[in-house]
Amino acid sequence: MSILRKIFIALMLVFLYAPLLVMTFFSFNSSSSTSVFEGFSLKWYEQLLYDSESISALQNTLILAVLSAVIATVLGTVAAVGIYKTKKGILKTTMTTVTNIPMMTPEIVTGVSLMLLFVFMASLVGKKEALGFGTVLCAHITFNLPYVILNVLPKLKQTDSHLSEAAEDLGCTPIKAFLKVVLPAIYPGIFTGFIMSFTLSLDDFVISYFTSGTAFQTLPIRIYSMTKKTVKPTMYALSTIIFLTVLILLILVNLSKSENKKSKLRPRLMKIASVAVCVAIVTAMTGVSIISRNLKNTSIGVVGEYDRELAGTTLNVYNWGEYISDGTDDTLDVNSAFEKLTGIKVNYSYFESNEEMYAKIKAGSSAYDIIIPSDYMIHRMIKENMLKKLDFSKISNYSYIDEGYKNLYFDPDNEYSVPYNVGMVGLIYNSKIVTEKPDSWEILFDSRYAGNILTFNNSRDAFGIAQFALGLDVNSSNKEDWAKAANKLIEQNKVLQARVMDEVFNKMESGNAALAPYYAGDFYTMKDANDDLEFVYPKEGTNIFVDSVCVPQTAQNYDAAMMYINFLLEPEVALANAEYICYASPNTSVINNEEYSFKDDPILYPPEEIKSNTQYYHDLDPEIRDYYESLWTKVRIS
Amino acid sequence: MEKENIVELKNISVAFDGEQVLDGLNLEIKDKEFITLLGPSGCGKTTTLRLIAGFLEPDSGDVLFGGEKINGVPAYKRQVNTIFQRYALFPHLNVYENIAFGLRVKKRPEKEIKEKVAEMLRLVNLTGLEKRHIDTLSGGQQQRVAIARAIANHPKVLLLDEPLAALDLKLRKDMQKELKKIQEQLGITFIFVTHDQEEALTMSDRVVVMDGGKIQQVGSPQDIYNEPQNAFVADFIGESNIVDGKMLRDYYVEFSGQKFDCLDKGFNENELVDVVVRPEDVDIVSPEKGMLKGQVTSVAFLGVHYEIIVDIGGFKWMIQTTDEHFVGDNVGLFIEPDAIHIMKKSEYSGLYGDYSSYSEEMDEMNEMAEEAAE
Ligand SMILES: Nc1ncnc2c1ncn2[C@@H]1O[C@H](COP(=O)(O)OP(=O)(O)OP(=O)(O)O)[C@@H](O)[C@H]1O
Ligand SMILES: [Mg+2]
Repeated sequence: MSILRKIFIALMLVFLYAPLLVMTFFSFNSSSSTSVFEGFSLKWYEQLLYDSESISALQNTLILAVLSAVIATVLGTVAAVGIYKTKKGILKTTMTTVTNIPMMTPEIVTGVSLMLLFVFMASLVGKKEALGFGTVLCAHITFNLPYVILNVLPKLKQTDSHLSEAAEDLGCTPIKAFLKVVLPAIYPGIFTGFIMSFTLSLDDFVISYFTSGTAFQTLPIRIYSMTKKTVKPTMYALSTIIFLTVLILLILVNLSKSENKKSKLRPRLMKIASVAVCVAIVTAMTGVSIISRNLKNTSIGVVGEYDRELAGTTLNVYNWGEYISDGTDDTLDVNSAFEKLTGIKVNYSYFESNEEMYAKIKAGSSAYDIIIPSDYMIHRMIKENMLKKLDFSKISNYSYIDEGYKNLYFDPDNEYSVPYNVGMVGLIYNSKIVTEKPDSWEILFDSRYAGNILTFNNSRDAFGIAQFALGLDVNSSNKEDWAKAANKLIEQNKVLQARVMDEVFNKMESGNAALAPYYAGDFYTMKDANDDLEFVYPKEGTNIFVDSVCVPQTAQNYDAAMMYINFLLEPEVALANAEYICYASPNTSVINNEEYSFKDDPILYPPEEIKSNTQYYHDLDPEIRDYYESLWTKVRIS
Repeated sequence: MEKENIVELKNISVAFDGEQVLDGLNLEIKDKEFITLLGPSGCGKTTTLRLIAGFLEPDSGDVLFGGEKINGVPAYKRQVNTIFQRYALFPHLNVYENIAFGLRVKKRPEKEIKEKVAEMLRLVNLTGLEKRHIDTLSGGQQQRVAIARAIANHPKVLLLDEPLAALDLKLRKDMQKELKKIQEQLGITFIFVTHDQEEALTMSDRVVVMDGGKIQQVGSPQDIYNEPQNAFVADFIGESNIVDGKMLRDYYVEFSGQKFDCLDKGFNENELVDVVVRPEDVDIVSPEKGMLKGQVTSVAFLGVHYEIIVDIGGFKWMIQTTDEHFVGDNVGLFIEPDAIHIMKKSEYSGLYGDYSSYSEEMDEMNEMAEEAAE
């Protein structure tokens, strides 16, 4: 019996702590592999030092968690007392229900509605930049409140209602009676409420995401945007540090509790120790973030002209995740370099897809000065008058842009956009499994490789593969063309292992799948992890895309935006970005640079016959868009 | 010399949700007296205490303390301390800190607090338990802590809301004596609440009998027992046979078809009255010698005496006697003039004092016991 019980407890502990232990273990791995331990190293902890964004995101998260938990605890306790004191009746029932509603509503609803509220209120007072630390704090307090109330109310009900009367009877004012007698009695509930609030706030993603705007980033948001490709081991290191901190705090709290009855001195010592640990952590973090900022490479030579007239102003940049050289591994920290050069503060935040970025701009909730959408989205935004024309007289470095990337279909007169990166879709395959060198998209429909084939999990890219395979126009306005492509995709379901986006990295790197269409630049990331992977541009042609820098109509700091665009085109900056991002650069100073490690790379810069056999995706009529989306749904469920 | 009134309640009315809980209450409490509020559950005893303590304001009427009106003065400013019905000790503090609480609030010097707490602990016999946690104490010990906590503040008036209700009989008797002793030692006014009439009679200088939010009678224990003012008081305080009677003239009353000499006067001629005869004041004699004649319908042995129910013309009398009688015996009852107490008719007339239901209940209980035995 007791052996069984021990086994049970052991199993429970294993299930609970195995993930944490594995994570801690691999945070000391000398390689980035998650399957093989290749020796002990503190490399990832060291790298963390260079990642000032993560460190400051962690700082933000902690400050936010502590502040929101403290405020929610105070407000929630007061509210609970209020509800408790209210006479039974409709009022009481209503109050209880109303306070519980935020807990029942899905986070996404809370997040979106709070965002709308904040934006609306900001527009009432005529403020453009509505979202920031304050709004996130409000949001966190809002969703923490019910948990505090829910923990405190039962404790109030449990305590003898005569306690506070007894204290008043002995000479306490009602407030003093509450503090001296009721508070200690309900303290366990308050404490649990605080801890719950703290943890909820610590790991909240959805609500923070909607209410944080351009200037403020929490750790969950940061990690999420970093995982666009794969989770970096630096995150294991960071998580390990957080876990250990929490563990130490918990042990301290428990020690101080268990000693409580025996002596008076010990708990006080414990309290002092806990406070000391907290202070030490905060100091250490601040120190680390200062050091990490200074460790970064920000030295650079420029050719354009930059003045410091706008020093002190802020520039809000909204870009894809991991789409700029950020100083990791001693690369150039582009944003810090710009800050150093001009004195303008750069607020940098990320989006996941063009559609998400579009929605945020359209909602008007945040005033971004720089955005970097893809071609078809730029096309749509120009049509909807969402972009400002650029002042090219201030962008002298525009001359570096390759002629091949000027006068593109979405901006025929070069008025709204400056190309940032160019990408093409190609076929990645594992040469160990696919022994013949493929040359056609048809191999993605080949039953010989059934179960080994991946494809895109977004409609436009997935349709594109079928359209190229069938020789159809990817921008066709003929519904029949789309229906044909859809049939081809339904056929593909039989041989498909999965539809993926970011998971493609893990699946291809581990040899789990053998064939996948993906963006050329990302191929090198996979090849680093698995040398068996190869890349080919199929003969039917493929999709090419350009991501360009634009300025939305809502921009607040137009002149700084011009300066930033010019800066991005600086030969040294563009080179650093091209090296970091691994996509093709439209910048001639990079393409022709002998030092550029991808110079004349056949995949990033394929020969002319391949390049000419490409198509851009255009922004389609809403009618066609709706039609193919409905087909897409059909494809996925059949 | 007449002592001055420390607390006065003047024409107090309180209603909760439209239900009248106290109804025109008038009460004067003398300095240093032990006064007891006695009444059935829900009659408004606790409510009365809460008015005096300051936890409740009357809808109308005045509360006076030392001759001054204290309506609206908050509880923490009143020189009154309470021992709550369920003690309300502070669970997060130990015995010492509970007792020291009031003194700490008043910011007394530490030395004084220490002496005072030690004195209190001695007074309530708890020396040595200073460090104990409240939840490790027995019920009686908790009770003592509550007393010590309340009197450590030197209140002018101590309010005790059924402080002994939770204790077993033996402990309750001991605590009754101790409380009385403490009250005499400290010379504080005790306003004591109970629904146990025996407790009220043994401890109090004066007893206030309440029912339905009204005072039924105020007086010394002897007065209350011997001269109940109406059928409610007569029945609530001890056992009583209450029969309808007619006052033929002063000192002469008729009931149960017979005429009796008595010691009461001052009624109208032929006024209808309630007649009270205590069970222990009736003698059982042979039918020929009896003033009233009847048949024994039940007999119960209670240790000190027998409790005998006698049917007299349909009305059942209870008699307490040390002589044994048997069910079915024909007996006579003999009643001395001083055993008869005459009361004016009241709203309670006819509700109490007949033991018919009592004996039926006994029969039923016996039958059930027999059935269970079979
Ligand atoms: N806060 C309140 N709200 C509503 N009704 C109340 C309240 N307090 C007391 N009552 C009602 O007033 C009446 C008298 O209550 P009180 O507590 O004074 O009775 P009590 O004589 O102390 O009874 P017990 O011997 O059971 O303690 C009861 O009917 C009770 O239900
Ligand atoms: Mg009561």
